[in-house]
Amino acid sequence: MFHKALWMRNQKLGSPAVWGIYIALFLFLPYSFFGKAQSMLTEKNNPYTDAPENYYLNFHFSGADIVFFLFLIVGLAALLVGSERTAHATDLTFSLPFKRKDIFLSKWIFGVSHITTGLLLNLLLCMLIVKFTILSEVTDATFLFDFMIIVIPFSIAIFSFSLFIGTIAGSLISQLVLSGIFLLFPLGFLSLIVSFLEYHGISINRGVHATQVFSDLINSFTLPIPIIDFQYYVDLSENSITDISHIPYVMLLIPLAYTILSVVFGTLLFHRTKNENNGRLLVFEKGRGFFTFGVILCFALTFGMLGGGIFGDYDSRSLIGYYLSATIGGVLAFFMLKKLIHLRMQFGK
Amino acid sequence: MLRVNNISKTIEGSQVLDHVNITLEPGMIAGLVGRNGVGKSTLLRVIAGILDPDEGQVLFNDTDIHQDPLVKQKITYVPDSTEMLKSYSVKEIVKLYDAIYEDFDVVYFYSLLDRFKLPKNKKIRTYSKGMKALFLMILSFSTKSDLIILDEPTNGLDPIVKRNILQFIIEEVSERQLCVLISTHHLEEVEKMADVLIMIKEGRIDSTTSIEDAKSSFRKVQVVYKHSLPEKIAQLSNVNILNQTGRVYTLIIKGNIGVTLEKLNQENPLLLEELPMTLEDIFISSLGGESHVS
Repeated sequence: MFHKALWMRNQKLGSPAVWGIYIALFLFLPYSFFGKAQSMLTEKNNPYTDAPENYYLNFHFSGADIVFFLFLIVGLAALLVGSERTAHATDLTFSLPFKRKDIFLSKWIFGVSHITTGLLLNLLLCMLIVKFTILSEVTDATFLFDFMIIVIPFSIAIFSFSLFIGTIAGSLISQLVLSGIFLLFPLGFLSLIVSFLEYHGISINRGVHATQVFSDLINSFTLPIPIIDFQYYVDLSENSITDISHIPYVMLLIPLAYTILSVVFGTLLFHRTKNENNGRLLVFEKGRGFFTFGVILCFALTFGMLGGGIFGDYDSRSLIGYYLSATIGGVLAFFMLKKLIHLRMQFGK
Repeated sequence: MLRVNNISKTIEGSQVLDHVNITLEPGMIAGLVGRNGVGKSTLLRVIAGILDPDEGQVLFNDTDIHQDPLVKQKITYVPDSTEMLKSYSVKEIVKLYDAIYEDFDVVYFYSLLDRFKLPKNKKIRTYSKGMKALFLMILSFSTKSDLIILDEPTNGLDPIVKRNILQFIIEEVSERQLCVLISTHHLEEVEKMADVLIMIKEGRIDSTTSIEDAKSSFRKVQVVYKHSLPEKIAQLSNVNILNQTGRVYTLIIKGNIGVTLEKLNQENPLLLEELPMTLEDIFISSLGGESHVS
């Protein structure tokens, strides 16, 4: 599974994203934390001259701060698989004396190692900054442990899932696009279904406490959400507030399941890959019908949701407007896919 | 050494390879020739393990290369695209290949770079197209593989480098008893160096013969009759018109040469003379050039 040559090959393919990951994490975590500490120190030493009593220490951290890192994870997966398909480099990799299973697993191990190392190193630096700067007067590093427990498994799951998408997508572009769509699919598709039901007079009660578990589930199935939604806030003014919000830890089973399934099915599909379809939207001819149906349905639902209000307002919704827009969306998607599915995006021959 | 057993491959609904069988032995240079789009590159990519066959097996020393790719330690494939390694420097490539192939000979590799005057301290992307092709070939021979698969290897090479590299391939084969399978459109190269000619037509192996046998089973003649080509001759299935200028016909006879020449003579030609045969004549005659008589 681990072979020095495959690691070197992956290093060459993925190095732009790997560098990006380390630099982005450094900038958005320790560098940003140090900046916050410096600003806080400056404010403490130079409180407001007209109303010094209004000065108080506060600190805020959100998982959304590292959203760029999430894009880079998907980019890394696309460089490791999709870029080879686009640049004819699979001809080199697949002609080498390695099992396809080992090639795929080496890519996974390579990505997971760098993602985990990048996160651990930078979060450790953040902890040191929290401990040895003015930030220690406001908070301790516990919230970073909480964040670490969320961000590492979800980041690995995002990478694994994007790598799996690379085994069905035929090019760099299609891998990036399909990864983006399917990573947001659970929440996005739910919104489309809810909108569809509401247009048909079935109201959805969104505010009940009983739906919290369902909401956590949907958010966790939408892998980037639990990272972006992580919030930590501390305010040491008179009404001292410390607030941390993240998904329940039991939901960590979801990224674990994503990772295991992505690796298992990814290995299987990579072994059976159809390199003759490299450059196309999809690698496998089987399943194109199902894929086309799914895309048309989603486009129709999206257009219906967006354009449904044309002939009515929020209170009196027009089914005519909904179905007219949905039909336009569906037809557009059909013709777009008809072109895209046979388009070959390969360069460098 | 290499046995391609009954390989079939369908791509996008059209059968690109149809029950292909090839056997190659050590010390052999085999030229794979055929018109554009007949499946030459697909066949080489199946043999290299890049594509999976729908049917059949590729056996290297009796091991199925798709079931056990580790056997490819002794096989290298040089594709027609030279872009895949362009982001590497020469040193990086050497490190990579040294890590991949157990028998990669670094000293030999650098000696070949010197012999062919390729720069050592540059990125591959700065090489010209011909230099890249040459570099890939040097790389593959330095792995000390027993089977080297070359897909259009001399594209972009200037005539002097081309001659040198062909000479080099012949030397390597005679010294190490390795086997080289070359797909090319440059028939004069195959003619110069190949022992075996594999002709592929519409995804099927049309013929596998030695160059000498191929030449001896064909005859090229120029004939002139009083009027046009006699009907009796025109109906012969083993006679192809290679060229016609007025009443002067250049014909290729495939098989049954003595009997066919006799028939040509019986029609009282004004002129009947044999012309020197080239591989190109065989290629055009066998794989579809100008019109068939019948």
